[in-house]
Amino acid sequence: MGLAGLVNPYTITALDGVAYGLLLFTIAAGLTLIVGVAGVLSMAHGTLYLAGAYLAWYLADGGWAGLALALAGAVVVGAFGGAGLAAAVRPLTDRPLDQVLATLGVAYIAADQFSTVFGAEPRSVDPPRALAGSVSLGDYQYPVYRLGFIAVGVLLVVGLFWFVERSRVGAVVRAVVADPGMAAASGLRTGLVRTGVLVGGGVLAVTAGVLGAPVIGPSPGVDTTILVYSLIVCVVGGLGSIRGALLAALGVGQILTLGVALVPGAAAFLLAAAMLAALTIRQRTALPGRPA
Amino acid sequence: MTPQQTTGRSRRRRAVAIAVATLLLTVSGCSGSSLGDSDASGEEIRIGLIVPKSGPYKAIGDDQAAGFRLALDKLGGKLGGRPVTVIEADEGEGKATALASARKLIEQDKVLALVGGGTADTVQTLYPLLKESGVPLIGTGGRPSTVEDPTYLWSTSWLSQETGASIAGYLRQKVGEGRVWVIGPDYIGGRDQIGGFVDPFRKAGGKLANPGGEPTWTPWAPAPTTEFSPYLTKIKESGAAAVYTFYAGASAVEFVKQYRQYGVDVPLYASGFLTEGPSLAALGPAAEGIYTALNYSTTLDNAANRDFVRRYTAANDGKLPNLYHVCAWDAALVLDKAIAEALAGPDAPAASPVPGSSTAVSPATSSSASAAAGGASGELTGQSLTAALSRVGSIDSPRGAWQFGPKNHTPVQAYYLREVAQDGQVWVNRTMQTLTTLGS
Repeated sequence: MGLAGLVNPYTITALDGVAYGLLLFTIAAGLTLIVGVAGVLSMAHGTLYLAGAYLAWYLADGGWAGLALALAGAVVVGAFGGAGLAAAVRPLTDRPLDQVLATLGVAYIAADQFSTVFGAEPRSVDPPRALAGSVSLGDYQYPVYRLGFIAVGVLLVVGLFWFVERSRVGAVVRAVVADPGMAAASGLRTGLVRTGVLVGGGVLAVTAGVLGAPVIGPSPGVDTTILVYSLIVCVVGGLGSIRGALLAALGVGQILTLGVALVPGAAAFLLAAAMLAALTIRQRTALPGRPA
Repeated sequence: MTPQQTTGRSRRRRAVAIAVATLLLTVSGCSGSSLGDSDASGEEIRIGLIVPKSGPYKAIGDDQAAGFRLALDKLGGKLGGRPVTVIEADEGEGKATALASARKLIEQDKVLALVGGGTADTVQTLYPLLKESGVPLIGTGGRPSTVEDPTYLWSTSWLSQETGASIAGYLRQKVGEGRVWVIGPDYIGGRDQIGGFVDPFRKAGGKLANPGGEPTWTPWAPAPTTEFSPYLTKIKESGAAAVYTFYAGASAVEFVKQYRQYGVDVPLYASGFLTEGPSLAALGPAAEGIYTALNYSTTLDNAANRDFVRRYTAANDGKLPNLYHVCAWDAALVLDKAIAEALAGPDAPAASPVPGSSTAVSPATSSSASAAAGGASGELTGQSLTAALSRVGSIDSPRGAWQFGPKNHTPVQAYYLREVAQDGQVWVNRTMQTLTTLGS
């Protein structure tokens, strides 16, 4: 049994689930840290993704230069976006509901501006020509870009894990998640850490937008879609937990692809049912992440 | 912004600033724009244009507003010989916003008629208000399939089931003994579109290739499906002779893109919305060879369409119009005729369209209008206009001439088979043949 035996509709679909899950992880990892560290439930997280996707669309030229430029732009836009959000919610410290409202307002205004500037029609973003086609896997074809995205996604996961769990800065971040009071008492500048996490999360989300644009292209409403999925990943994975976010994102990715292929009749309820199951189990075993 | 200023006063000031900004945004979104600013109240007609200016249907609303204005330009800013002020309002997502906007247009602006309605939801929401106030709505978009008493509702668009029904017989013949895989989004519009195809297709002896012989529905909540690979790999395996689908907007773009990426080589048939307007522009070559059914194509060869496409492309950098532009354009033609008809008086004989009157309204040709301006005959009210709408007769539309059906007040119109093909630099839905005439 060689490669041909491995390639069937379900493995192809499962591979898609991995690509989709990694994309969701890239987006939601930022949000889970923002919630866990800064305590801000940012409703503008999908907006940042959409900004990245429009950036990719605007700068795409079919070559590597356009993608490189878009990625550089993502760092700038993400940093400014994150810093802007940090500034907007700072006066509302310790008023979480007001922070939710403020970021929701930002998201609404941004959505309005996007459709004014970029138009309300859906846009299709083509990856660089070298990655644009499909490769044959047995009897099936698979888009090259998604294979590339899986590779980049794995690198991002490794990088993020190293950063959060091994690096010195990551240790500070984890300290603020675990016990902000004690972290502050031991001389850590928690305010700075909070702003830093908002900036870092912003950069991640916009970068995900640039890389994800050929998979989930920019159009009005995408910000909400992304926000919903990110919130699901954050809640199921446990707020502030990178490990939990990875598991939850890969799970959601598989449910939206393999799950739908296996139980097509229940496609609409599958995600909700899986969420319920995951939350129930987590409540009992207190697995990754801490309770909100 | 200095982050240290967290005193109560600055916080209050910030709150006020946010409130003012929100108010400004709201007002700028709702403010009307007028074409004619004459204040002679006996002369001027007010028309309320209510389309989605925010929310998920904004693209449709923009097209509808553009189509209506284009027709009004062509008519010299007059309808039925009377100068017109158009007051625009937002219908939002079709519920509360639509109702508030319509109430404002009817009660405050005292409009003669409403034009617009991007979605069926809006029409459903506004209907009681129309009956209560006696103001007719010229619907240019989605239209609920069941309206008990359509007295005040005249749609220039279509019924959702018609699109699929128009191609069912053709596809049944085309596939012979082969089966068709049917897939669509799981919301009411999607179910209407797909059901419109499946019922007549089965009646004609056609069979579905889907497991269990039932159409496949893709989730619409909590977010519209953008991952179609699980379905596409199954279609590839099924040995179907053809695929029939309906998606619009972003879902349409993703569906077709992935259909190509995953190498599905089954012929793709669809409701025309799959490759209409912005979707086709976004897809380009990826859409090549898709067959769709719709009641319009930019390549239709008739004088009204040539004039319409020329005017639209000239005003829009060579971009091509779509069905939503056409329906809104037709709404202006309908109102032009109906207002002239109402002014001519209720006892006038059935509509006798003056051939030249729709291209240039000069005092010489619009005798009925000038007579009415003198107050000689018919009075122009919502009621008289509604009555006149049943007498407008044939509308010389870019999609081919049509007239209102007596039962549902929707167009009795031709549906066309179209194939996506390249025409010079742009991709178009090339008309292949007329499929059938539907409407009631």
